[in-house]
Amino acid sequence: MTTHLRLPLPKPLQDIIHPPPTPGVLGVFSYLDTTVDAIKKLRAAGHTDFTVYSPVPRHEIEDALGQAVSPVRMFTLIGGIAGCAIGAWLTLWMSYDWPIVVGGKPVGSVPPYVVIMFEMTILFGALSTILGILFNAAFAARRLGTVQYDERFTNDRFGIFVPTVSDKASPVEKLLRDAGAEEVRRG
Amino acid sequence: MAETTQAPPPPSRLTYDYVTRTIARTLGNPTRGYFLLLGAAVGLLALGIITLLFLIRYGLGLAGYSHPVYWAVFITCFVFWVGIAHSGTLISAILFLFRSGWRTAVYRTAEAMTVFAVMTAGLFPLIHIGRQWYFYWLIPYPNERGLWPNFKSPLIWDEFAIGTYFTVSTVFLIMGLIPDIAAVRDLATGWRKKLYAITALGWTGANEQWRHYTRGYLYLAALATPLVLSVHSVVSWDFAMAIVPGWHATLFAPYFVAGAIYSGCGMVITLLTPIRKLFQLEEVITVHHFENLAKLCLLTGSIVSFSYLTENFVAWFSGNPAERAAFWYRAFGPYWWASWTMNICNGLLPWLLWSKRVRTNITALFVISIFVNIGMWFERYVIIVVSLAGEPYTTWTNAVYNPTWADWGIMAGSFGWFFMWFLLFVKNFPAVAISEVKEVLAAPMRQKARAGVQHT
Amino acid sequence: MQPVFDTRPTGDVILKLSGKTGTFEDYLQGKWRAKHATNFDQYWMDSLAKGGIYTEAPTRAVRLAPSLSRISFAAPAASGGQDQDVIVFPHPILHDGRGANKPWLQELPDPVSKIAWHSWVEVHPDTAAKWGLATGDLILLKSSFGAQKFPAWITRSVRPDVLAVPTGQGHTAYGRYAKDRSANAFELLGAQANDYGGRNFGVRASATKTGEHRKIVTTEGGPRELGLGTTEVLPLARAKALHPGDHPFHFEETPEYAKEAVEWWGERQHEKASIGNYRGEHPRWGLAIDLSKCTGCGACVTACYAENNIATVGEELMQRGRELSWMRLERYWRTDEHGNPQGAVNEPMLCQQCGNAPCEPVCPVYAAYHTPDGLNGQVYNRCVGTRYCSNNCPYKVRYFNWYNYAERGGQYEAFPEPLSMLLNPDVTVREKGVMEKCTFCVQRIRGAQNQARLENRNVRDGDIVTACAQTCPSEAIVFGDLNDRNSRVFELAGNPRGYHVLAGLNTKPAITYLARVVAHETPSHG
Repeated sequence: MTTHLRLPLPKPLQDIIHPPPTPGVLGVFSYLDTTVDAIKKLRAAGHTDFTVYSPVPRHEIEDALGQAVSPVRMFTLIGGIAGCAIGAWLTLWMSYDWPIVVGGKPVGSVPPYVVIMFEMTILFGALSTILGILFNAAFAARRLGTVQYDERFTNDRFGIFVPTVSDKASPVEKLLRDAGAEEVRRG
Repeated sequence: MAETTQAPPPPSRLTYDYVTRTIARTLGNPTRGYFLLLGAAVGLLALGIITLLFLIRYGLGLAGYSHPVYWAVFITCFVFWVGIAHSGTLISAILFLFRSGWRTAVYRTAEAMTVFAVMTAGLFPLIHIGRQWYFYWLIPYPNERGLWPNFKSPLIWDEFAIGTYFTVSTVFLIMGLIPDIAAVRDLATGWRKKLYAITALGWTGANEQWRHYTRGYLYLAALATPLVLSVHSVVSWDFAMAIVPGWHATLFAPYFVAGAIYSGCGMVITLLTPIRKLFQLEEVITVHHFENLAKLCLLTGSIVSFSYLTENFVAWFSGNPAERAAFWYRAFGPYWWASWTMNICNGLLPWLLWSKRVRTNITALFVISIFVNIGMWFERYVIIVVSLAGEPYTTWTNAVYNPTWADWGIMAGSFGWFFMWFLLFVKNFPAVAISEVKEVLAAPMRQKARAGVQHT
Repeated sequence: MQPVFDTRPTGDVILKLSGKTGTFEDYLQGKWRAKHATNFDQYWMDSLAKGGIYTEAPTRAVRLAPSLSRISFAAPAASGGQDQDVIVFPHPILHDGRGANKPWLQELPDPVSKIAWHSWVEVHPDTAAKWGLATGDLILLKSSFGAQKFPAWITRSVRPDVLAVPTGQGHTAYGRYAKDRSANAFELLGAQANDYGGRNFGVRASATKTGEHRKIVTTEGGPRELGLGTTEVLPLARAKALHPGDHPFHFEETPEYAKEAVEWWGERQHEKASIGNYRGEHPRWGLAIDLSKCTGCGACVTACYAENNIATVGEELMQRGRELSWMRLERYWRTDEHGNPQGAVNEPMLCQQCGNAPCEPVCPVYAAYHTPDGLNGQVYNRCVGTRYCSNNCPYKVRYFNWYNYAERGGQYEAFPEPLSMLLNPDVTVREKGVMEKCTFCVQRIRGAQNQARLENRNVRDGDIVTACAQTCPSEAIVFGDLNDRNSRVFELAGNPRGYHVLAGLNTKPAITYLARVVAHETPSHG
């Protein structure tokens, strides 16, 4: 089994970024419906803490997992509001900090500043969405990079990784195989 | 996803694995033709850099400027490239929100084009200013003299709009690339595997990643949609906020946005035609995709033609002598050839696309797309140069403007710069969205009876 | 003044050669002191100020000789054959050529043809059509004394049977700006004195089309007057009927039914507009230009060059429309229904120092801004050169430094040694890549304000005179404070002949033009 390439890093970064793998069972599936079936069975068996791999995002998997809506939307909202506020502050404060009259217009003219406020809303909203994705996916997603992985998961296979200690692995293996896994590994 | 039991089974070759490998194959060893193209692009870029050095050393006088034509080819190119950028975001963000399945095969190319076109466009305001080395004075940075820029100036709006657009379209492109880079990472070997391992940011396709990713992507698309409409509106306000007849029109924002998408779709067709051939992507990028692009061209081209008619009608109907003189000068003045090039390429040419035979003929579309690009370049030339040259308020200062080698040198350099990045991109990163193309395929099911195909 | 080079006055040289000591000035004063010992210093200063010693001449009554009315002139004989009547006239600016080595004068366009830096021959359009001539075609004029080539300038200001050539150019020596520039019209003339002791400036010559062509360096633009109020004329009869408080150029085009709404809106706008202005009592500098007095000579233009360190750009760049004349003279023909000129209106065009200046808000770095005393400031050091201000200026009076004209040894160097000594130390020499324009001689305004402060008084009307106003020989230009009800400029701004150029754009210019009074109305005056 090969995991995706890992760049060697100096200590202590190596331990933080590439911790030793979590023990568990990995099932590889060829079909979406069998994967969904396995998810349902795992959840029925009381497993809540497993990872599903998929080359494409599928609503079937999401529905089977019953996940809550991603908190990324809060990042977008807060980023957008902050951007709008920064845009307003930037334009108005800077205008009054160096008050110069041009074209017979008020020093702080709001209508032209709306353009800046709008652009800043988009900019900060987008950047904070990116941060939200990275933060949630890279840090909040548990054990990322420590779990079992197979290179076919970005191509045409689905996968389920269930973390278990070795003495409890057998029922999980059986469950996955029954659900239709074409390959089951223990790691 | 629409599922029907009656739907025909998908073509057997178009499986997930086939898609991954077909697209990954585009990243194979470059041919001599590729290096020739890249060399030509770098050569043009070198020409542009040398011209720029001359401009900085001796001054903008080397270009063709003449009183009162104080904006000319550089700003024309600026608007041209910003316009090109727009269709990329339209296809990647707006059509994403509309759930248009056909966008998946072409949006990556369009989006890469967006980023590189904005990168190119952003250089022009820096090149065209008189003291290029002080460009940073336009940025509101804290300084010991307590000076700030003037936020009432449309140029500052422009800076914010273009800056935001560049940032957002870049992160949007990178975001979309991550799952695909992971896919090619898992197939690659050697130094490329290292490159993709870093750039994939540890993507594995885990459910936790997809959960945040798909949400985030949706919000990015939702933010990019108003952004793309705002950017060319702001660019148009560079002109519409001025009192020059021919510029000062409330029509400008929608007119420019439509023109931008029209030119951008033209450029997408220009770029996709050779890519599709060279990389043998005929099965992924089909005639159907070209036809849809052609329909977009037809729609936006019609809006542009309508805007031309409106402009001229309003100039006549308003009875304003300055407006009338400006549009008369445009059509029958010394620059009549530029105006009529614009009218024919943008006003008449799109009408060919009413014919399905033309829309489905890729050679015809390629030829038309070249003329769309030319026509849209001339539209900006007409708006900028001709309006200034024939400015009817001060009848005494009408100039006859002629571009010089410096204008063409910088313009050639911009094409070199754009194509250099574009060529490097298509050879090093997946030019077609792997995961999104798979998304519109039928998912592999064990129970074939329930399998369906989405209508794209 | 310190000697510029290793030179001394002629008088000193003669004294030195004759072995005497002391300066010529002392010598001269000594001689005059002997004649006017009392209060000599005052006497000397007065004489210097007058430029000489004058005595009043007794007046004499004179009467026109009755025989005057019997003098008649024979019409010029019609030109026979190939020979053409050619009139050589003194160049209004370079005169006989003595001004030709001064770049300021070379760059100043001729008041009528608006051609600079070279000579030309004036050809009537009918003649040009007959000969198949286009503007700029070189014609070889060959008289019995000599031959020269001149580019054709096609104009209705010359008779169809006559060609006219200015003097002034075609030096073979004299200096770097005069040498080898165009052709010398004197070559066509004989050296023989005529009966009256002068020279004949009319000569018969053959005109041959050479097939060569050159571009005419002219600042002349399109003569379209679109009824926007650029130049205004008043027939004498109407002008005589005007009373103070009349506004013949203040068109009221609002229909009755819209009046109330427009007035309400105008009031709101007025309130809004005053928000933007600086608080407090400030002067508002303004200019009044009387087009009736303007002869179009262009002295103001050159005065502006001298005062404000404006670079001369030379023939090549001027042809590309890159001259930097902050003040330019626009010459509009008044023509009859056949297009024949009945006269011209000369309009000096310079920055209007608008109250609502379109150039200001578009500058991204506040290089163009409004000063509290109502000027459109232009901060050269802050300018990055986006040129947006010029695009948005309806008067097109902003000029851009396309090259570094002050660069030592540069291709377009405007102030080579010793011309750099002409530079006004109160004014910046602009770098390449910045916009410049008329400042109302802000250095003179600030100088007068500082002087007044030192003398503990207010600035008085007349303390500040801009270079153009100072130079204008007909005193057509008056500068002052529009907020001072007793100033001359305030009075002129309220003159019924007064109008603002392009008033309809609501730019609120600080320059009031006084319409030219003409004998009769013509169908077109611009």
